[in-house]
This record gives sequence, C-alpha cells and structure tokens, in this order.
Amino acid sequence: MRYTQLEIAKLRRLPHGWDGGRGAPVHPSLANVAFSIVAAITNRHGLATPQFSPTPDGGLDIVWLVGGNRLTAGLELDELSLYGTWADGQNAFPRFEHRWFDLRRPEFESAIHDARIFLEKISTDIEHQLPVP
Amino acid sequence: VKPDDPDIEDDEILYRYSPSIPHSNWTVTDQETQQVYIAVAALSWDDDGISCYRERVLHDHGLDWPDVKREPRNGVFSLVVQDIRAERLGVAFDPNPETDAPHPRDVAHTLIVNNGTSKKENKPCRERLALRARIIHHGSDE
Repeated sequence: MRYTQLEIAKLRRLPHGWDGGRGAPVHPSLANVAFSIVAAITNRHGLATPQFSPTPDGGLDIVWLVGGNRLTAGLELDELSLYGTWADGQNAFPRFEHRWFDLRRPEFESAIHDARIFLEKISTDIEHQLPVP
Repeated sequence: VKPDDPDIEDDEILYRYSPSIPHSNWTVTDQETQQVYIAVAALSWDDDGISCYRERVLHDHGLDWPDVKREPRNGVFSLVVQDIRAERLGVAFDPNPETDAPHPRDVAHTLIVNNGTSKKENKPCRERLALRARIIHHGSDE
C-alpha cells in the first residue's frame, strides 16, 4: 500500500494545466477514497498492481490489467464507477455507477466484493511485475 | 461542438501529445503480455473535443509527429480516423484555433468530437479507442 500512497500523493501534487489545458490535480477527497478502494479490493499479496491515471477535472482512474482483462475504478467529482471487463469486452460483473450522494453501502460493498473476486481470477495470469518503488 | 467532417478520410492518421505527467500515469501496462497502452485519461475531453493533428496536413507543411510535442515530457501517440468513427465519435478539422501560443502545427489542428454523446456515455468508446492507439514516442520523465 506504500506504492498506492506514493502514486496518489504524486497525482495530488500535479501542477495545474498538466494536460496542456485546464487539468487540475487529483482532489483531496478523491485521493482518500482511492486509497480506501484499493485497500478494500487488494486484500492479499500476489494480485495485479493498480495503475493510476488522473483526469483533468480532478478525478482519477485506477486500472488493473492482465491479459486484456481489466478492472477499473473511476473516481470523478460527482460519481464513482467500478467495473470489470473481460478481454472479449463482456462485463465480468454488474457495472457499479453511482453519484456520491446516492451511494448505498450494501450495493457498494457488493461491487467491492465482485471486484475482488474478478481481480483474484485475472491475477492468476500475471507474467510480468510492474516496477514499483 | 463541431460535427464529424466527412472530408477527412477514414485512413487518415491523427497525432496527439500525451499529458505532461510521468509515463506510467498516461499509460497502462498489461501484466501478462507486457503490452503498453495509453490510458483513457490521455483521451480526455476539452470543451470543444479532443485535440489532435492530421498527419497529412502536417506533412503538407513540412512537419511531422515531433512537432506535435509541446515540451520534452510529452509522448506522442497516433489514432486512425476509422477507429474513431467505429466508436461512434467524429473527427472535425479545426485549423488555427485561438491560442496564447500559436505554432506552425496549428494548421493541422483537428478535434475528436462526441457526436452528441455525453462524457459518461462515451467513456467506454474512449476506453476501446485507447486500446487501438499506437504509441509513437514515450516522452521523458525528467
């Protein structure tokens, strides 16, 4: 989780305009949520590594990718999404998309559970470890 | 937002510069194949679309993909117009947009446009498009 903390902290420090336009650093509230989501999904060693990308309006995407199978957590200022996609484009579990004010804990916990199961499945095909500090 | 411009042919190549962030934050690496893709974050919308540059017009003016870079950290990737249209997005020629820092490459400025879809609706389209992008240059993390 040290790697996750460092990555999120790095994206929190991005300069304004990092995208050549009006890109903002990752919003502090989303940084905290991002850390919690990664911690909830990656509950053991040997799983794929989360990869972090900022979005211009202060959000971020977290992606785990193995053999074309992709788990994505999308954190926007107004909405959270969590979805898994098999390499053939099929959904691995019901797509979770909720506005923050409309977030219901049981549904969120169910999505985290689905994401964890999916991540465990795709992590069995890992052949390459990403360089993490 | 401008509409799709049918005068831009399907086989044309568009170049786009990556954000000025570390390489690992605008790309995603597959942990089985080691294939490196652009992250969908490198295809984020501005108010008018996603800025790119037409290879054909750059060449007509003696320019090429290195001229798309704004600074050393920028990587460059390419997209084929037919891949963009296959995702129900459009391509609109937008030469010489108003800017604080005009550059000769502006003659080739082109926008990927949303064809009326919302940012949320077209995120899956951009995710699939990101898989088809070809990274030409990885830029510098310095």
